[in-house]
Amino acid sequence: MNTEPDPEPEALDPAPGSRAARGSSSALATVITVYDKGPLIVRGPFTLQSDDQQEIDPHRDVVALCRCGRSRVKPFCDGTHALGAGRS
Amino acid sequence: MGLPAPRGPLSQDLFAVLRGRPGPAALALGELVGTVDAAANLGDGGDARTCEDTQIALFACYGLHYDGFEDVDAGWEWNPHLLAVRTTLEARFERDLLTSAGEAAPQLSGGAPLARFLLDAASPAHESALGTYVHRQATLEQFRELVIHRSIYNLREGDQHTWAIPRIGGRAKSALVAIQADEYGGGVPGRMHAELFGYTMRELDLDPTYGAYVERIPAISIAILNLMSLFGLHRRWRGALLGNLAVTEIGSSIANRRYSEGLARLGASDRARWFYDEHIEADAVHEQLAAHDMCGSFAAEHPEELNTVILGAQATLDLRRLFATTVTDAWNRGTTSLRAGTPA
Repeated sequence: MNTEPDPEPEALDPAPGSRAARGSSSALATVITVYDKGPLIVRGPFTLQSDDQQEIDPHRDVVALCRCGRSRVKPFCDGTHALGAGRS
Repeated sequence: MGLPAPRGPLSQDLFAVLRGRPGPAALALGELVGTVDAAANLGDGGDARTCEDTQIALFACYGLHYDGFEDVDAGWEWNPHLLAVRTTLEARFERDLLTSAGEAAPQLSGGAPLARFLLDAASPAHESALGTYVHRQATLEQFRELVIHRSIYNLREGDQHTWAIPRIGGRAKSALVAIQADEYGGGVPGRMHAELFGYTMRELDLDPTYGAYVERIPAISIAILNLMSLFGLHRRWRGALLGNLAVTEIGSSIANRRYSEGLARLGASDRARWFYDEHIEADAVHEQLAAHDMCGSFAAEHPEELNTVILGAQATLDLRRLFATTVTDAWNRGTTSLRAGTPA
């Protein structure tokens, strides 16, 4: 009979297959890239949340975050930065 | 779908042969090769990009490499006699694409300048008159026309660029795969962009069956799809296919927002607007990946093919302008931009 105690539950481990679980492999670091005259692109595991800790669904694995402040779908980019100043 | 109706002597002969078995009937195609120019009126002055006979014939040739046609034996796909006809048609199409695109091609070197060139060339700051028209004044009937034009491509959105995946590598391939994953709805059934377009059609009381409106769709709209198949099915055009995808994604967020707002103005449902709304966020990611990571990396690795990326982008933008002008000219005259036939 196995008298070993059950292994400590790894309460902080995220569900298998979740974004965060994939991040547990060091090969999958989160990378944020600043694009020339464009948005910030986030690749790898991340959680996006509002200032009241509500999770924001990114809808896709790779996201573009607004850097110009003019997007109508913030925090995401909607391409508005490419329009001349004053147009949106 | 079945083969569409022929639109001239060339497609008439070609489709008659395609309805037979790919054995002895193939020989009749040998004669057809020699008569393409005369049959489709593509000698001096004829533009293959807007030639109904040429584009519907190419559509049939390329269709065999996708889902095919109910009335055409699948054995035709790699039939050398048919490929000879297709090659002759493609030579005319390429001639007219490059005549227009080659004139304005800039001399660039390096991935970053290429990315900047693409972002500028397809910038939403140069909005077409068609985009403004749809946003502000198109009627529901006109919006439905636009959806019909695009249905030949959007109901199969993504498939044409998938041809590039096995033909490129490294960072460019990773970027392309990230874009394509979104196009195919991240693997979630019912979320493929092609399916979202089907929902738009249904909401607008249109039939989302592929090819349902092909008879009403003019050459210029079919040429936009054929261009992608041409680039997709020839490895020598792989750079052009990437350029085509890049300028399709760049500026698309803004264009789709305008379409969505146009539909809202017309009182369309949220479900009808879903396709356009999805592209607002998705394409803001895709345009960066396509310009920098895909085209930029590809050109850095294959500098000898950088010019092909530019040609692909220019040819695409030229066709798109031609399409936009054709449609707005018709609407400004108060007529339909579709071919004559049963009302949609």
